[in-house]
Amino acid sequence: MGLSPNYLRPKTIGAAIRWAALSAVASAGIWAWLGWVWGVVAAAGGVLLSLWRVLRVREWVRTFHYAERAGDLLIGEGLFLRRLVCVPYGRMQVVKVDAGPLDRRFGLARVSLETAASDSNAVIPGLDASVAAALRDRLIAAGEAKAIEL
Amino acid sequence: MSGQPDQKRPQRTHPASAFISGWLVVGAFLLTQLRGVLRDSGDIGEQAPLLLVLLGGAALLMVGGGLWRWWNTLFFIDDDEFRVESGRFFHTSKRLAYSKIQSVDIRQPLLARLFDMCALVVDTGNSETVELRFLRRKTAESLHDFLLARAASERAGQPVGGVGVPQPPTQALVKLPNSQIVLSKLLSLSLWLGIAVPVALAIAAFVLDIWWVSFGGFLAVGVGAVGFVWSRIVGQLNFQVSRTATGLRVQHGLTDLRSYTVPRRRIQAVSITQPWLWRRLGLYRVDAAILGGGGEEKGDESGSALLAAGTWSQVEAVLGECWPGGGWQALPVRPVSKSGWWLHPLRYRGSKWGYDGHFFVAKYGWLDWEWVIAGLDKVQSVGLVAGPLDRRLAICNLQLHTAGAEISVMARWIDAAWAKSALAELSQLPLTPSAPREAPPIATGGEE
Repeated sequence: MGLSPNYLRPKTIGAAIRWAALSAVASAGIWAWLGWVWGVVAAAGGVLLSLWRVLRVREWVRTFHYAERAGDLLIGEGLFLRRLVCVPYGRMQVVKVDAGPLDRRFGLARVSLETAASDSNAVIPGLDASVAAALRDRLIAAGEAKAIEL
Repeated sequence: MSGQPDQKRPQRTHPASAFISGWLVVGAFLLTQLRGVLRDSGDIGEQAPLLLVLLGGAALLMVGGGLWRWWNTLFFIDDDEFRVESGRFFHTSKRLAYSKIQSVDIRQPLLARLFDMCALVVDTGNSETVELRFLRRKTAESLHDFLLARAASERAGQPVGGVGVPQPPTQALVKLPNSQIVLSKLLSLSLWLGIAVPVALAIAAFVLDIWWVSFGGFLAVGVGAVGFVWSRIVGQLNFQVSRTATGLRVQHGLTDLRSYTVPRRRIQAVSITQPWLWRRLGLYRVDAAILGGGGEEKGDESGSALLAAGTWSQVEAVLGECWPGGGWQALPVRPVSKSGWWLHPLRYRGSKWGYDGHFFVAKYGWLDWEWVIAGLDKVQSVGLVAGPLDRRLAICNLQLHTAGAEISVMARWIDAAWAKSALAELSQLPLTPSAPREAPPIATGGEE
């Protein structure tokens, strides 16, 4: 399963804001430190970098996938550093659904699975709110059926 | 504390604790004063009476305050509850659920040790620990055993007898000879680095003739080095691991005795490390990642060490206590992938990893070796990570996530196809420990 196609826009907006702000701060710092020439160079670099990040969002969203299997949830993500995480239902402790202001505007939500291990870091962003709620309920039901004691 | 205490009768810590806690503060005060006098090195003669009056007043205040606090601190330990009431003006009442008790430690600061008194520290997993200071050693030990047994039985759902009912004795498992500890510590690079860096700085300051830096520097280096060596070596002396009903009890220290219990079921992963210099000695260090943090406070050098420096048979004895069923030694292991060997030319030769239905093992290193062992019943999730270069070389990093963050359980640079099949197999994690988690009964002949 993939992410909601609606997720493309909030993710793009988020990435644009984040990278624009980051490069603005960095260029301002370089301007103050090394003079305006380097400041302009840094700003140009920042614009290019932001543009590249923004253009990669589509590919990132397309690559993200998750699968509910019989005994576990599989999440695959990443373009540069590719990561595949497998969380057995019995290990899940909390399933959280949350939505920021940007997500809410597009009717989206993210589902995060928490296990006792902080490294698990299993998050599915950008699902339609109804899909997210249904996924959470299925995950919790599956988790209760196979719960273990720590 | 002989026999069973009356129900609902409040208890106090030992009266002498007022003096001990008071004198701890007075001692610290004296020390700072002494340092101030040394620094000023002015006319002490003139200030002496004033200083004496000040000190006497402070001591009286301390002891008075200590007595007041002692009188107003009551604790209740019985079948129903563990509650600590303290303070008259600001009254606090803490009640701990037996089932939430994560660990119970006995600490002995130097001064308390002179009086053979102990502090009992009860940790419930959150930041607020309850500390009862000070108790007679016998009392502290019987409370310690009772609380641990009670916490364990609360989870199992069966009551145990009251405080003072004899608990199963502990059985000494490993006792490290002090010569072995001193030798291993002297052969550790971090010790020498910790001494060499400040010494080098002080010498540099001396050579550059910044006399006030160098004087202060020498003093600081001297004090720092002594303190460093003290904490590194003396704190680890008398290292002893014993077996209790619920897990392992580790004790060490010469002046400050430290004792912590590691419940068997909270052990997430274990690492065995061998620095290069220890190879000839055949010594190893064992650490454990424990759910909810180690038995000791964080930031402590020894962390949740199970063995400061032991021989292989001592390592096996300790690990046999973590996993009584054993079986981690005989795992089928695989080498790391040949492709990409040039990324880590020295470490790729001996590095191995493997798993079976119960354990995951990884051994990595070149000069310093590190083995990581995790029981699969404690693994929370499994992940694969590969960067762009890894993908080109068809290698992959396999990560096993456990609740103990101190030890990262992973197999690096492994063949991508093997990694995929490992992920598929490891995702069928066992839900219950396959090897029995309960230790065989403790032999009654072996206790001290």
